[in-house]
Order: sequence, then C-alpha cells, then structure tokens
Amino acid sequence: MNILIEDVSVTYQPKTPFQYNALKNITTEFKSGQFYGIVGQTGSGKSTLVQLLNGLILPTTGIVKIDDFELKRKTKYKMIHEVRKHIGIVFQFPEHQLFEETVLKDVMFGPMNMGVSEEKAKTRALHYLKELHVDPALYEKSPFDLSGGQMRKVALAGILAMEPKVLILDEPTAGLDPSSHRETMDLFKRLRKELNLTIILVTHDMNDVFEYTDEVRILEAGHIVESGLTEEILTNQAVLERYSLNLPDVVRLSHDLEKKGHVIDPIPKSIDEFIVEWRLRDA
Amino acid sequence: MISLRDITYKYHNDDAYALNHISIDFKRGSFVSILGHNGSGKSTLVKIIMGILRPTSGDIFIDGKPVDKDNPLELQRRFSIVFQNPDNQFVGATVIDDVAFGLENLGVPHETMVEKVESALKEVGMWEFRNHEPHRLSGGQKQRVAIAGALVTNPDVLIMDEATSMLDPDGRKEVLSILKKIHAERDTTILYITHDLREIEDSDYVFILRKGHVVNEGTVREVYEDTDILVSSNLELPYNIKLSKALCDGAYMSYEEVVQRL
Repeated sequence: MNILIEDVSVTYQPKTPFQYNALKNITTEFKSGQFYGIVGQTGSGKSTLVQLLNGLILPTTGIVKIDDFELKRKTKYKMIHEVRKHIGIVFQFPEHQLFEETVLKDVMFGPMNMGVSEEKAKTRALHYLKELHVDPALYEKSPFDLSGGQMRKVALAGILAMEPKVLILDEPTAGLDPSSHRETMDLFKRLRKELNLTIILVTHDMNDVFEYTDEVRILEAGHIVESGLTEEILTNQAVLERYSLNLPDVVRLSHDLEKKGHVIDPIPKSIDEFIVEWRLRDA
Repeated sequence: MISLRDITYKYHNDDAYALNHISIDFKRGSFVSILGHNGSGKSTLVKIIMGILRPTSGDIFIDGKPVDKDNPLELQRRFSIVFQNPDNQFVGATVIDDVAFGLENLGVPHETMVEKVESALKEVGMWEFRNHEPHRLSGGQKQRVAIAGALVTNPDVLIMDEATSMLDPDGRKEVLSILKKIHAERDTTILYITHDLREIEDSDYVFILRKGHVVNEGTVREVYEDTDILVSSNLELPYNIKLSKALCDGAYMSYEEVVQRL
C-alpha cells in the first residue's frame, strides 16, 4: 500500500486566537513494504502526521492518497472507515486501550468492528496471539490481570488481527524493559517481512531508527526538513545537530574510531553488531 | 540526618513483600540515586519515605528521633517531591501562582513569599516565564517549574520520582543539568529515582533495587562494575559498559577510555 502526501497543511482551531499550523505544505511518500522512521523534537508535528495517515485528522488543505483512497478536508466518514481497515496505529501505551472481558474477546474486537465474521475474527485472534507468544492459558483471563508486557502484546495482537497493510507505531517501546524492548522491535522487523507490511515508526530513540528503518523523515516546526536513506541521514552529524537530534550510539562510536585511523565501512546497525564485527576483526 | 532501618512492606492482598529489609541513610547535601525496573519496589519506597505508607516493620529516624504516631507528619515536612507526569501536579493558573502554592499552604507572610518564589524560579531559570500557564510549557520547563515549587519550601530532601521518564531527550538534559546545579549550590539532599542507568552519573551514591531487595549499592563506578547485577535487574546497560565488558577485558571504562583502547 503506497501512501502519498501531497502539499498537506493542518491547522488547528483556525480563525481563532489559538490558530496553530501543525503541518505546513508537506509532500512526501511512503512506499509499500518499507520501514520508515519519523523523528523530530516534541511539537514538530510528528503526532499530527501520524493521525493524518488514518483519517483521525483530515488535511486542512492538500490530499493524502492511500492507494486509490483520497483523504481531503471534507472526506466522508464512510470512506475514512474504509481506509482504517488497512492502517493500524499502535499508540503510546497501547495497553491503555484494552477493555474487553477476556484476552481473546479483546483481540477479536478490532476485526469484528471492521465487519469480519465472529468465526474468522477468532481464527485471526488465535493466530496473532500465538505469533506474539502470548501463553494460551491467558486467553480466557481478563486482560487487566496481565503484566504490563503481556498487556502490550495483547493490544498489539488486536491491531494485527485487523490485518492492516500499514502499521504505524508511536513510541511503541516507551516504558518497556530492555529485553521486552528488543523483543518488540524484532517482532516488527519479522512481521514486516512476513506480511510485507509498511511500517512507520515515530520515536525519539535514534538507535532504533538506525537499526531498523530503511528511510527517515525529520520534522521541524511542521515541515519535513530532511528525507532520505537512514544510513545517509543518521550518519550526518551536522544535519542531526542542526535539528538537536542525537547521533545513534554506534555512529558516534564509529566516527570517533575513524578519527583514530580505523576504517569502519559500513557502520554496523547497532552496538551489539559492532561488538560482533570488532571481534571478527581482532581474530 | 534521615535514616531508614530495616524497612519491610507488604500490601494487604499480596503474599510477597514489596520491600525486604531496606536500610538507607541520607546524608545532608548528597545526591542519592535509586535504580530499579518496574515492580522493583521503587514507588513503594518513595511512599514510605513520604509518610504516605507506614512500613510493615522497621523504623525511620529523623536526626536520631524515630518517626511514629506522635509526629506522623514530620516526614512530609522534610521532603518535597517531583512526580513523573508533569501535567498531574500543577495547581496554579500561572507559573508564579503554582510555585507560591506550597508557601501559601504553610502560611508564609506575603512579602517573604514573593521573595522566595522569585528566587526559586530564578534558580531553575524560569523567572521570565512567571506569567505563563504551566500547561503550555514544554515538558522540561514544566518539570523545572515543579522543581521550583518543590524547593521553595526549603525541604531537607528533594525527591525526583521518575521525573524525566516522560520527557524527550532535550527535556531530560534540562532537568538533569538543573539538578546538578542545585546539588552544587545547596545542601538539599537529592533522591533520584529512575530506571535509566545513564542518568545516575552525577550521583554520590547509588542503590539498585530488585523485587524489593537492595541487590547492590555504592558509588556510580562501583555499581557500574557489577554488570551481571545490572543485567539481572533488567536495566539497560549504557553502551560504553557493553563495549568495555565485551571488548576491553570486562573492566568498567568510560566512553572516552573505550575509544582510546580500541
């Protein structure tokens, strides 16, 4: 599923003293099956952009094209509902969205709300709960009796059970411990391959962006100020400094070692990968 | 000054102890960090220190005097706290009103109040924002206002309870640098609660909490050196530690030392 954002602006509370331009004439593209990172300071427009992609917010001017669908200022709800079948959003702390009596029912809610039959919804729910390694003993328990990490997996299974073609992740690992963090990010990586998902990751974690994404968009004050390959933008110290973003740890390390005369090309995707490669070099 | 002796705590409907035999001394003017992941007992400990929960067993002493039924509020008077979510703690319509609230509560005369609020806001670099609405500030600015509100009553101990965990990287830097300044200029004890190992570098002393037990304590360097405990406590290792452990004989090294060595 290709997404094309054409000259889109979003203005909150227009024609009032509180008028605020959250996005200003943005044009960009998200291609099918790619993994994107969206970074920028708080208030740069990241959340607005994400909400634009599934019709939670409509453009004030411009068009969002999602394959054959078009979202504009006056697009009708029926059309928006169609679009939402294909675009799943995982908000920060998705476990806050759980509400059903049992884990299984909670995961089935999304697909049934999209018009999938109960029987089919159940098949899908079981499939994705298994995929996310949720213990079958928990399926009939209340989602509120689970641990934080388990709740997040259940919430995620509910979104995947809608079988979206695009998955939007807003700080999906905030508050997770290191092992759950890695597990969750690796899961997204695997799902993207298996289901040919387009993934759009909004985060402050530059290490994750560098390790997992193909392309990156930097937002500042409602504009897309940089757009391109992750390995080019996130290794450019001058660009990142201009937008007060940190260099990924492994990039900083590689640059500092290059200053000492080591050749590190290409830069490994993570500190762990760096360690493995450095050991090989020593051996 | 303030000491916790052999504190245990058990919630009513739980079999397990949330805190097991915790003993901590807070020396005047020190910067103490308590590190631990979700469920380690950090929040329970803060509630006990604040006098919100009474320990199941164990004692708390202030300047050698035990805190008991006769002086239950003594603790609250000595401590100020800054919480995790900056939006949950504002009461004033403007920054200056919000900071004044604590003093109004204590019945401080108006003139003294005006002076104290001004100096607290200047201390955290928020004086020029005094007439702003707290809700419209950035996350880092909100927490700086909250710190001013906490310091204005001149507490013995300032507790920062995961106060940077909802901030973006810039906000986090802002708050940490203000704390560093406070630590240098005041004799207020700072009790810093976090799950982020990168934030403890300015601490004088660190406790690592896991499942209600103190599993390690010492200087920053001392706790950094025992990486096995950090990993088993489910804390994210800073990358210089990962690198020094994997590639430099395992001894703790700063980032600069690692680069030098490789």
